[in-house]
Amino acid sequence: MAELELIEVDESKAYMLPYAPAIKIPPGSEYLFLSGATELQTGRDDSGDYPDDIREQTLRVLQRHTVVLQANGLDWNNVIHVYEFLTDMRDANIVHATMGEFYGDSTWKPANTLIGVNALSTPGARFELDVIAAKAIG
Amino acid sequence: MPIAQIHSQPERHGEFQHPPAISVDSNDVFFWMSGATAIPLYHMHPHIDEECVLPDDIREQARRILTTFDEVLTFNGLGWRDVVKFSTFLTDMREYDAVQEVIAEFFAGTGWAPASTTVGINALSAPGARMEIDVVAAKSAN
Repeated sequence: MAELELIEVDESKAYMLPYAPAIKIPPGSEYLFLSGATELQTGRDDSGDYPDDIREQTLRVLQRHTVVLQANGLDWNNVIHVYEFLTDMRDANIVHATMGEFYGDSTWKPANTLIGVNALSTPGARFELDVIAAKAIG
Repeated sequence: MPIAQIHSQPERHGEFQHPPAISVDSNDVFFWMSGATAIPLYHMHPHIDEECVLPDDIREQARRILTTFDEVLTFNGLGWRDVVKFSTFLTDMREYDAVQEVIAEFFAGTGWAPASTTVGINALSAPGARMEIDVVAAKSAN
């Protein structure tokens, strides 16, 4: 049976990384490309009523993606790559720890690219996550 | 569909280091690789300062990054000819040309270059990091 494969180049050091060095996708897999999400909940909301707290923002972002993944029969174990965009790189450790909670007991972790940026689309947003998911077929 | 460069204006092929597009097939095997800066591939999280000491020189940072990907590609039985997409993030866009020269060194002899996006950004995960690349590779399953 075809499966998504988490590639560790050095298994003895796998504990050091909260992300995978690479993810291998078998032939014929289906992909789902999700738009980047900030803590904005649904559609256009100009209330400006967003939490400043990075953990709370991260939870909202992850919950938004969870809804999209589930609507397509997927979960976080199908996520193969994420772009993390932060307006303050000092928030990275809290973001990673919060994302880890969404994996529970799973040993899965996606490939990851972390970038510090000037600004995000929602005023006050500190974190945007762009997700690529895949499902092995056959 | 073969893994191939797509040249929308074939007569201008050669003017650019990177092709406008690369075609792949859903029956290829894909490798999505995490972005790497010039610090070692395996490093502690949260970061520890001793692992994040970097040379300031952009060419040296670029060589370290590409050497990391050379290791990941080789581990998976791949080479530079199998790379289909580069995303390059620079903290100073004036270093674009130097970075491209180092990238060309690694693709030398392959006759190949991937699709490429380069953007200037604010900051990277390691203090002193001037450059990050992430890579997508693909290989025909046949």
